[in-house]
Amino acid sequence: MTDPTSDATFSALADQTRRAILGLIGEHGELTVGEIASRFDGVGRTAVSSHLRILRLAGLITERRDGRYRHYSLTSTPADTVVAFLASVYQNSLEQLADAMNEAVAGAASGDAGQRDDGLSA
Amino acid sequence: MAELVLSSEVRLAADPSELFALFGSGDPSLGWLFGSEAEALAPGALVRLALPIGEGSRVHGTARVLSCKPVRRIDLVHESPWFGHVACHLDPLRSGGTRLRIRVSIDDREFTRLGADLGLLCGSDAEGWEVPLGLLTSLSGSAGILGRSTVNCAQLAVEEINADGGVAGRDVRLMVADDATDPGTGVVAMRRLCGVSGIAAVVGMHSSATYSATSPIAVALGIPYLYTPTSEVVPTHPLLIHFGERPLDQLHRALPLLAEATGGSRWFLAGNDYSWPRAIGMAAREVIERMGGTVSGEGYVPLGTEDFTPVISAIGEHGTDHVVSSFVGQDHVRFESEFSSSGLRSTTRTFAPLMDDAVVEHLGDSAAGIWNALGYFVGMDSAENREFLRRYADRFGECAPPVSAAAEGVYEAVHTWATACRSGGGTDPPSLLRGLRTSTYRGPRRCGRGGSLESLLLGEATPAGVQVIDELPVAAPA
Repeated sequence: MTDPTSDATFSALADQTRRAILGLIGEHGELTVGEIASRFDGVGRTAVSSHLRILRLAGLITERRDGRYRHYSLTSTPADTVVAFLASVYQNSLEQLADAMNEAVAGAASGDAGQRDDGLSA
Repeated sequence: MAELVLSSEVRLAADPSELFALFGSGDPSLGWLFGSEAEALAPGALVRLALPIGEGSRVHGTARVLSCKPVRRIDLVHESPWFGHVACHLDPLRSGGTRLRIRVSIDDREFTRLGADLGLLCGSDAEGWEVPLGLLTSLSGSAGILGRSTVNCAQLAVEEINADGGVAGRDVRLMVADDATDPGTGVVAMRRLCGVSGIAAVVGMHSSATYSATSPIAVALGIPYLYTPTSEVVPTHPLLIHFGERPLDQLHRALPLLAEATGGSRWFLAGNDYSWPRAIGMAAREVIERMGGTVSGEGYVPLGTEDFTPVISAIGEHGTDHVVSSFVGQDHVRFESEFSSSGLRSTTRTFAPLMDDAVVEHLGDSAAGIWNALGYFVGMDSAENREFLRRYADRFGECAPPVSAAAEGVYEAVHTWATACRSGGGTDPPSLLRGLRTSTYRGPRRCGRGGSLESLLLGEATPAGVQVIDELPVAAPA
């Protein structure tokens, strides 16, 4: 199983527009920024580029350069990403609970409660 | 069936009884799971979740308590935005404190559906011997609270059809996609469903805002689109087939009866700000003016509104005898609940064209007295309805989300589709359209040929659910 606390995956997938961009790329196999932007009303090229950067840093898509164009496609392990996303949603809830409890009992058993792992590996 | 299992744990200084008492308190700072809202921990009780997976905001979901062993274990069934089982174990530590473990299981079909909705997996294709039938509905976003019972009803209909020999000698396979109550997401989900090899039709139970973005795709690709909720949209192509109640039918039968019950003549029109509530407002104004009443004011707010105080204050300031309330999903629940807390419920009566058994379950006592006219309520007294409810309970168990008009409409649409395909001699569009003109499916609703609604039930919300108080014939289509 993939690292269950992949914050980068989680925040990349937490945005509806980014999920829709992934869906489009999955549907077509490979797309350029311009091709993606042309399929969205109200989302400009610059916004699409920044979404693509977040998706790429989270390891969800890969970039292939071909002259002036960059083509984007899904990485080969999307199922692992779904697992990581789900795991982080649940893990996130427990960590928040631990944080809240820590604040409530400030000082008590501080080293014991809510171990965190902020690793970014996807 | 294969399933994905996830485990996660934390060690906490609080002891199990302290933690157990926090579950369901509705305090979001405790995390979305323990900070969920649960009125009771009895089997079948509703748990409201607010997951931190929206843009800035939260995605509302629901779960239900499956079982609960005080202080040590809570088992939940997640209904939306995805379906799965969550077991929370609270183990006391010898050193004091608690080891809190959660074990989440999600079956592979739901995992594939979710992966596809996240944009990551291409979704499963049906096997060659199966007929794929799409269902586009809202499993997340404001309308997500209706999603699980809708999927259940579609699945039940498909299983009944298959037990009865399928259609054209083949089994039907249901493919589900989530529009997240968002037209842009709906377009991607619809394209994906329409891309499934051999897809026979898509059943839609979602907002008209999504419909106006997705229906051109169905038409362009030649795929029949069976749209089930109450809707103002007039179908413009033979492949766009509507089953839901029409606003003018709902309003022109019911509003005069409500005015007669109150003796009042002033109306306030309130709702979410998009095409359907606006159409309800226009139709209501027409009906109200025709019967000599007056519209004292109007207020529309965006989908996903958290604070309804401005609209509620406007209703109070304008003075009114009735409110026509066309809010959707979570917004509907929140508006009616705040409206009830404001005390206005005792001086005004509300007609809400989406009030059904699911909304009343979420609202409890604060819904009491709201009226609506729909093709179906759970309390409908007929042999077909008793049989349907028995089958639903047998198939999905005591802790399943209760049926609502929205979900039952999908059950009928899937059966009507299969009946028409059998009668027309195939699942291709010409056979389906021929079959719809000549065949009738007899389910709980009073429908004529091709699923056309013949009568509406007038329902009043009570603390025990929606009570059916009258049956109103639908006017013949113009």
